[in-house]
Amino acid sequence: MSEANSRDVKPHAMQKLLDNNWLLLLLGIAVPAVFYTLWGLWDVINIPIAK
Amino acid sequence: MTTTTLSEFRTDPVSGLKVNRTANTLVKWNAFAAVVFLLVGGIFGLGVALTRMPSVQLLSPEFFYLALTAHGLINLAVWIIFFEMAVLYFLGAHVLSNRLATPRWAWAQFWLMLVGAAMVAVAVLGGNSSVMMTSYVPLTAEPHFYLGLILFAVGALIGCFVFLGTLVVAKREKTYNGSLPLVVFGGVTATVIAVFTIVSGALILIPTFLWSVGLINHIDPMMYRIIWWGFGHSSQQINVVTHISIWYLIASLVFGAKPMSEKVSRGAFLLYILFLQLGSAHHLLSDPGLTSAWKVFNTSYMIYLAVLASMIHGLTVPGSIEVAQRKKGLDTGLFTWLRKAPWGNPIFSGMFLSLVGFGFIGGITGVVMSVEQINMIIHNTMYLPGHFHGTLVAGTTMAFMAVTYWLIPVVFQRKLALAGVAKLQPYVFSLGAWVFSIALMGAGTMGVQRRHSDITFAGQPLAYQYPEIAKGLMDMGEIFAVIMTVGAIMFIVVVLASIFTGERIAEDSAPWPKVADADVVFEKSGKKHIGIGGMEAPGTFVLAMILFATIVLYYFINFKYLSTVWGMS
Ligand code: HEM
Ligand SMILES: [Cu+2]
Repeated sequence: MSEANSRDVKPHAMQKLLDNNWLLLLLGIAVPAVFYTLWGLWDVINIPIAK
Repeated sequence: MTTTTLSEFRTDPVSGLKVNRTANTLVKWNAFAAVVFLLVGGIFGLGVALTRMPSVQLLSPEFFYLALTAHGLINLAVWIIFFEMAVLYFLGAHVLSNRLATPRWAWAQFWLMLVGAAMVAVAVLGGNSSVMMTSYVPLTAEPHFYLGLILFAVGALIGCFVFLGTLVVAKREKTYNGSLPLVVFGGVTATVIAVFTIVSGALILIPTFLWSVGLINHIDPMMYRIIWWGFGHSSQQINVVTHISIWYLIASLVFGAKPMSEKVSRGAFLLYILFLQLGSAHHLLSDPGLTSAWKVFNTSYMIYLAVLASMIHGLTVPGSIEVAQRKKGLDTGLFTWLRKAPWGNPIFSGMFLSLVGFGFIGGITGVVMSVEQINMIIHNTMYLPGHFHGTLVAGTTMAFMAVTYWLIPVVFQRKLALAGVAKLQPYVFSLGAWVFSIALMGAGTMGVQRRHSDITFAGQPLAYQYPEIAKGLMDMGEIFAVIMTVGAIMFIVVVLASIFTGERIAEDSAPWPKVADADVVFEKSGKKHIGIGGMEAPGTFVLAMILFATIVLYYFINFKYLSTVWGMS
């Protein structure tokens, strides 16, 4: 499971990630901020203005 | 270490945990505030429910919206988040035999949240802030409504960082070895999601506050909705993660169970961190302006990775209980382990009802209605409150209640009072919540809309007749809402009676008997295998297949129904 999820085949890479609370925090903010918030706002900004 | 002296800690006779007194006080106050707010929010909920009952219609429309705003905010935000603060401090300090990083900041968390909640309550009760919990612009509330919410959120954010700092202390002072215990890792997951949640909330509520005092002249309603739901939906995911951690905790407390695979459970939490929050998009499936690519990517492709994680937890929690029970000798048949579980212990029964209720009622319906096409059938109908009382009430709230029955002796150092009431409480509350949820979903499928005080539309220019059965479902649902309220009051009475009148547990009293570790019992028994046909948890496997089949079936029923909504010719 853990190996399959990590690109890096080095053992314990996954455990290192799971033990790094700050990296998890960064990922947990960055992923939704990009895919949900920024992309969503981008969609709205790109609605053409009525003439 | 100059700050840590021995007398700061006591050894708890009930749990055997080494308890830091300051941390314990903070857990107490946050949990106590939570329960008091649950009472207040529940009373407003009852008012709302009795209004939505076509044959009662208790409140006037104005007062209905006031009560709905109060109910939504107090229960959804205040009860839940105060309780979560208590859980985080408990995980960071008690579970790790640790102290809190910065008790002063923790008190700042408590007071900011309390003052914020009070400001919101004053604004709502004043009658000019009936904007409901979503406070969609351009609806306007009083400035102190938004300011209160902002203070509350800042308080919660401080609490998150106190927890993260507490983990740093634990690591530095080596109060644990290796990786964090799984339940604490669940706390980390909840905290990560909480930080995204709160930052989203601040990003949108601060400008809205400035707009309400006239410093900004326009807030785009579509942008508001996107950012607000980054807050509104993600906050639900904090709840999910917290109650799942509580399930794991209770499985180990009551059965001496161990997670079936730490790796798999941790991997599932990681999936939550990465993908769970994207589900926020399911609130915007009917919004114009947002592309289908955005909607489908966030609500279908990515969210299924988080759904997968939920299925993993849903499988490993009962699975670990089954394995523990079998190791302890209940190794016959498919379900002996479950039948012989301690159903009279509210800690267990509450937890298991939460698991089943969350999975079958809240979970299945949530997954299915997040599909863009199916969402069109039920968007903004009573189906929604039906669904989320399945998750929030039958799931989260029930789990929080269950763990409270354990926290009372450990944290409040009192024996549970009114044990007979406590024993029945999970059943009464769950019965109410389950039937209420299902009935509301039924009514919603017939088009009865949410957030409306009168389904007969008396005196409205655009009248509409719902089928009689929809009214019947609303009446029935709300009767069960009353039962649910009775269950909530039973809980509150037990908690207050225990805290104030329960028999004190002296600090030096004899340790309470410990639940035997399932592995140790198994080793002593000399047996080699458990389960059936090489499967360690066959009963859980069957339950999981039933859940899976139900999802698939429910999915098809909904698509079939969708195909009949517009007749094509
Ligand atoms: C104690 C018993 C409870 C009762 C009788 C109750 C009843 C209701 C009813 C009838 C509605 C109105 C739906 C509508 O008209 O649109 C509602 C809405 C809601 N309830 Fe509850 N509920 C209870 C507990 C809870 C709890 C424990 C939570 C959260 C943890 C909760 C969260 C909400 C939310 C967020 C809304 C939506 C408010 C809105 O649309 O703005 N409820 N509830
Ligand atoms: Cu949501």
